[in-house]
Amino acid sequence: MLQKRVELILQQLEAVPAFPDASDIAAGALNVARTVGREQFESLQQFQQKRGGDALRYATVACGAYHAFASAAQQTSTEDSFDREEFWRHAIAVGCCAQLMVEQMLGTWGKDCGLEVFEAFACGLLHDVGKLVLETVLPKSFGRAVEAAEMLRGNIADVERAVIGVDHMVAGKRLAEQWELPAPLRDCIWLHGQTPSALPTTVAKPRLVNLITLADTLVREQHIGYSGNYTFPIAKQTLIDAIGITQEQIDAVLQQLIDQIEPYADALGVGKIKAAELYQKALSQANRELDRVQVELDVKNRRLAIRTKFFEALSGFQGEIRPDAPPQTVLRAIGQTAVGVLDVSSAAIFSLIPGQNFAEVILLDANGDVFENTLVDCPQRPAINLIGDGPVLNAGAELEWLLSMISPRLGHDQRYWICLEADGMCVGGVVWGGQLGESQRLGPQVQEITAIASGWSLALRTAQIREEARTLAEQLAEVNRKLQSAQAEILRSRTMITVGEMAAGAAHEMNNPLAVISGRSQLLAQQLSDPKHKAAAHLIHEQSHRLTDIITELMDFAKPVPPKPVETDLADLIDRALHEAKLQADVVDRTVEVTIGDVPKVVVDTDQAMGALIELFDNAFHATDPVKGHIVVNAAFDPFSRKVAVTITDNGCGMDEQTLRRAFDPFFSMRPAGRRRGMGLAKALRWVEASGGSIRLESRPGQGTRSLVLLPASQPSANQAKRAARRAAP
Amino acid sequence: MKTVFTTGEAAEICKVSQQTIIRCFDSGRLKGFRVPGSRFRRIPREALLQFMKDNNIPPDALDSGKTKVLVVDDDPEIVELFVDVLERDGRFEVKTAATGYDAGMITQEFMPDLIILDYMLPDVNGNVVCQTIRKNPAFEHTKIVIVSGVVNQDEINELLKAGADEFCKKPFNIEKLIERIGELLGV
Repeated sequence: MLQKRVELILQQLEAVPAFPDASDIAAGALNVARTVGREQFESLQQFQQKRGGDALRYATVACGAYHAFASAAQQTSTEDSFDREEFWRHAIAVGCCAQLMVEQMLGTWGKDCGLEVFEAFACGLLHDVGKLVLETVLPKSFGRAVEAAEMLRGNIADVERAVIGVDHMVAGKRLAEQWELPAPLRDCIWLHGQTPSALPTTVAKPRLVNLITLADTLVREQHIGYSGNYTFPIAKQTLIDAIGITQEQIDAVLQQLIDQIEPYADALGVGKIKAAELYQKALSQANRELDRVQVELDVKNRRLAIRTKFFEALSGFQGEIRPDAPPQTVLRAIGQTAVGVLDVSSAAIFSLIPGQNFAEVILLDANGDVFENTLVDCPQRPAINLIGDGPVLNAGAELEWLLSMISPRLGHDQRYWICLEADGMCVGGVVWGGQLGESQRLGPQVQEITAIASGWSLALRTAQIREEARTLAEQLAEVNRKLQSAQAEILRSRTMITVGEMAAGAAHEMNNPLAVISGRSQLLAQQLSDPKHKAAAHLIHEQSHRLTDIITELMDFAKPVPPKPVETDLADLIDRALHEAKLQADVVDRTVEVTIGDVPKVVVDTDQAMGALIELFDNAFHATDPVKGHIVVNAAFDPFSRKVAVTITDNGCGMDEQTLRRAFDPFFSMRPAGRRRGMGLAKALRWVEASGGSIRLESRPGQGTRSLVLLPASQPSANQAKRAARRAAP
Repeated sequence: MKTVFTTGEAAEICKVSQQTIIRCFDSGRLKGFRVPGSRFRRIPREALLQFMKDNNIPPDALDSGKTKVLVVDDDPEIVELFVDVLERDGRFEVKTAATGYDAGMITQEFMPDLIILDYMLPDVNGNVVCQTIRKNPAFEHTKIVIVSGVVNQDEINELLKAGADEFCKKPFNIEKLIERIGELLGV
C-alpha cells in the first residue's frame, strides 16, 4: 500500500521541470566555474580544457538544477511555509562548505584525497534537491511536513515519510536518475545524513557522501539558511574521522564560510546575499533558537518545580506514616500533604473500609492542623463515578452523605474531591472546596496529583487492612476467651452430671444401710431401759438421719428438679427470702437496706430463686459483724442483658482470690467444719442457672462482698425499657 | 399356706362335727368339689371363709386373726428389720419376698392385706409389681406401700399413680411407719 503510494508520487516526477538546455545556462555555468574554480575562465571551453570534463559537468549541473527549480518556483504560490530563499541559502552554504573542506584537504594531501572541488560544491548544493521535488509535486503535503518538522523540532525526513510516504532523499535520488546526474551526486542526494558505517558498499565515493553530511551539519550549526532538520543524529567526530579531515581544517573552513557565500549566490543568481546580512540572519536565527531553548527550559523548570513540590510532599507524607500507623494517622498525613499540594485552605479526608457503613472523617486547615475528627454514616456503598478527566472530580450525589455533614466547614462554594481507590473500590477520598474551574487550575499538575493519590490510596488501604487484621485478631482473642470459658462451663456442667449420677447411685446404696441403722437404733431405743443407753441409741438414729439429709442435698444439687418458671414480683421474692434468711440466722444489729427500682417481673422458679437468695442473704449475714454489719440490696433492670439485676452488697470480711474462685464448688465452705455443708452457693448458682439467670461474686478480703444475680425478666413494657435505658445511659 | 381343706379339717376349724360339714357341703351351703375319680369332698379356702362368715363363726381358727403383710426387698437386712418391727407389734403376720417375681407368686397364695414394696428390685421395678397386682380384682383391697431412697417428688408422684397407696422414704421412722400402716388398714 505504502509502496504503491510512493510509486504514484514518484511517477509524478514528470511534473518536475526538465533539465534546462545547455545554451540557456551556459552563462550561469561559466559564473559558477569562475567562482568555484577561483579563476577567470574565458569560456566554458577554456574551463573544460583546464579543469576537465567532470568539472564542466558539475558546474553545468549545479547551475542547471538551480535554474530548473527557480523558474518552476515562479509559478507556484509564495505563501507556502517552505522558504525557497532560505533553502537555497542553506544549499549554497553546504556546497561552499564542502568545497572549502576539499580545498583544505587538497592543500594537505593533494589529489590523493580523491575529492574534487566542483564535485564537492555541486553535491553540497544539490544534496537536498529532493525537497524541491516534493515541494513541486506535492506542495500542500510538503508544506504540512515542513510545519510539522518545525513544531516537533525533529528531522524533516521522518515527517516526510509519515506525511507523504516518501522522504526527500528518495525523491531526490529519483530526480537524479531522471536527469541522469553523475552517480556520486546521486549518492550524495540519496545517502547524505547516513552514519558513515551504514553506507552501502555500492557507493563509489563514501568519503564524498560523508563530506556532504559533515558540511550540512556544520552549516546547520552556523544557522545558515533552512534545512528543515533540527536534530544532529550523527556525532560530528564520527564524520570527521571517516573523512580524515582535522579539526583545524574545519575551523579554517568555518572562518571563511560566511564571507565566501555571497559570490556563490551571485554566481547562481540567487538574489542578493550579503555577508553582513547573513551574519545578522544567522545571529537572529541563533537567538531565536536560544529563545526557544530558553522557553523549553522554562517549561522544564516549571515542571521540575511542580515535581519537586510533589516529591517533597510525597516524601513528607512517607516520613509521617510509620509502618504500623493506624488509619487516623494516615488520614492526617494525607490531609497535611493534600492542603499543601492542592493549595487549599481546608480539606476533609475520609477513610471508608469496604463493608463498613460509616466513614472516618477528619478536617484540616491550611496548616495541616486537624480541627474536626468524626465518624459519618455512609448508608449504602457510595456509587462512585470514576469516569472523568484526571483525578480531580466534581463532588456530586455520590458524596452527598459526607457533604451534608461537612460542607459548611470547607471554603468556597464548589466541592471537589479525589477518590482514593484500591482494588476498584473507593476506600477514601480527599474533599475540598474551590471555585469553578478547579480542574483547570490543577490541570498542569494532573500527573503528579495522580501519582500522589496512588501513594495516598496505597497507604490508606494498607492501614485499613492492618486495622481490619487488628480487629480480627481482637475478635479472635475474644472468641478464644469465650471458647475457654465455654469449655470451663462444659467441664463444670459435665462434672456436675458425673457427680449427680454418682450421687444418685451412691444415695441408693447408702440409703439401705442407713435405713437399717436408723431402724435398728430406733428398735434399740425402745428396748433399752437405761436412759444413757437409750440416749445413745437415739443419737445413732439422729445422725443417720443427718447423713440422709446430706445425701438428699447432694442429689438435689446434682439432679435438680426441673424449674417451673413463673412470672414473679421481685420485691415480694426478695422480701420473702429476707424473711426466711432472718429466721435461719440471728440478724442481731445488722442493718439491711433494700432498694428496688422500676423493674419488670422476673420469670423464675419461685422456690429455687428464693432458695438462692436465701443462701446469698445467709452468707452476707455470716460474713458481717453482728453490730456493724450493713447489707444493701438493690434491684434494677439491665437493658443490655435484658435481665433484672439484684445486687447484694455487704461490708463483711470478704474473700481472698482463692476462696472466691472456689466459692461455687460443692462442699467448699469457709465456715467452721460441721456447721454447714458448703452447698449453699453451689446450690444457689445451680438454681439460678436453671431459671436462665446467673450469679457473679466480687470480693476483696476485708472489703466485703458484692453478689450480682441476674434474673430473666418478663417482657417489660416499652416505657419501662425506655426508662431503664435512659437511666443506664451515661 | 393351706388352700384346700378336707371335711374333717373344716369341722375342726369351725368347731362343729364332720357330719355337719358334710351335710352343709351336700346341701350346697358350703361350696366345694369332689376329688376326681373318687367321692372325697374338698373345700377351698375362700369357700370355707365364706361359710364361716355366713354362719357367724369367728375366723380366728382359720388365719390366726392377724393382718397379713408381705415385705418385698432384695436387701435381707431391710427385710429382717421390717419383719422384726412388724412382729414386735404383734398384730401382723409377715411373709417376705426378694424379687418382683416372688412377690407376685406369694401375693397369689398369701393374700396379704398390705405389701411393703421396695422400688429398686433386681428383676422388675416396684412400679411394675404395683401395676400387676392392681390389675387383679382379687387384690382390690390390698394396700401397697412403696419404700425407696428416691427423693424426687415427680418420681414419687409417678409411683403413687401406678397404684401405690403410700410412699415411704428410706431411712424411715419406725413409729411413724407403723402408725401409717395402721391407718391404711384400719386396725
